Amino acid sequence: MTQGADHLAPLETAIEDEGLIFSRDDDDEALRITFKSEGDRYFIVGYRDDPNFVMIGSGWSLPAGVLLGEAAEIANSLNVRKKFVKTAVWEEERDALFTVELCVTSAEEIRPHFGRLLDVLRDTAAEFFAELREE
Amino acid sequence: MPALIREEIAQFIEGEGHRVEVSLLEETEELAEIAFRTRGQMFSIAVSEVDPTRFSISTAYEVPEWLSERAGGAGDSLRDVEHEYPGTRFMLAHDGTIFVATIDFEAPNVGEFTGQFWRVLGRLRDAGNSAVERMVDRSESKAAADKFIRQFMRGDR
Repeated sequence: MTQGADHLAPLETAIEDEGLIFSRDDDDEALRITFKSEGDRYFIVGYRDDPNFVMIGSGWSLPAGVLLGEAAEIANSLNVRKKFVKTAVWEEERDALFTVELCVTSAEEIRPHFGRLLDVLRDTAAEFFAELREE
Repeated sequence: MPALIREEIAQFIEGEGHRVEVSLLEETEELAEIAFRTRGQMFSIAVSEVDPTRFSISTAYEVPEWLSERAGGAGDSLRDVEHEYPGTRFMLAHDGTIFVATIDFEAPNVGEFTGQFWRVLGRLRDAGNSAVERMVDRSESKAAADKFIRQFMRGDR
C-alpha cells in the first residue's frame, strides 16, 4: 500500500454501514476517525507510516474516588479473559482506555467484523464499570 | 414557533451519533416515524405532534422460517416474554414471518423521553432478544421431546 494513502477509508464505510455519523481529524502522521454510538465516543487511529496497524477504541474518565490500583486490577482481569479488547488504566489522566489493535493487510478486512468489535468494546467498558461499582 | 417534536427527537439521536430518517405518516403532518440503526438493528420511534407526551419505540425481528411454518409458531413464546417484560408489546406480522416488539413510553416532555431513551431502548432490545431465544429454546425442547416420544413408541428406549 502506498504510504500517504487513506488506508482507513474502508472503516468510514463500516461506520456508515452501522448507521453512524463520523468525522475525520488527520494530520501529517496520523489518520483519525471519531464517531459516537448511543452517545458514547469512539475513535479509530492509523499511522501513515504503518498502514497495517489499526486501533479502534474508546476512552472514559474514572469517577472521582476510584482507587487506581483497584481499577488496574479489574483491567488486568478483563485482559486475561476478553477477546480482542485491551483495557488500560491511564493513571496520569485517570482514564480507562478500551482498545482493539489489529494488524491487517487492508482495513477492508475489518469491515465485516466492525459491528462485533464495537460490541466487544461496549461490553468490556460496561463490565469494567460494573465491576468498579462493586468494589 | 416551538420546535416540532419529531425534529427535537431526530436531533437528539443524531447528536448521539446515529443517522436518522424521518417520515410523515399522514398528510396532516401530525404523526411521524423516526428510523435509525444501532447495534445492527433498525428501530423506529412513532411520535405525534398533537400528543407530545406519548412515544412508541419499535423494532422487528425475523421469525425463523422453520418455526413460522409450525402450528402455534412463535405466538406462545411471545406471550411468555410479554409477561416477563411488562410494558413491551409483541405483534406477529407479515404472515408470521416477523414479529414487532414495541414499548409505549409516556413522558411529560421530550427532555424526559430522551433522558430515558437508551435505557428504554435497551429494555426493548433485551425483550426482543429474549423472545428470539425463547422461540429457539422452545422449539429445540419440543423437537427433543418429539424425538424421545417417537423412539419410546418404537420401543428403542
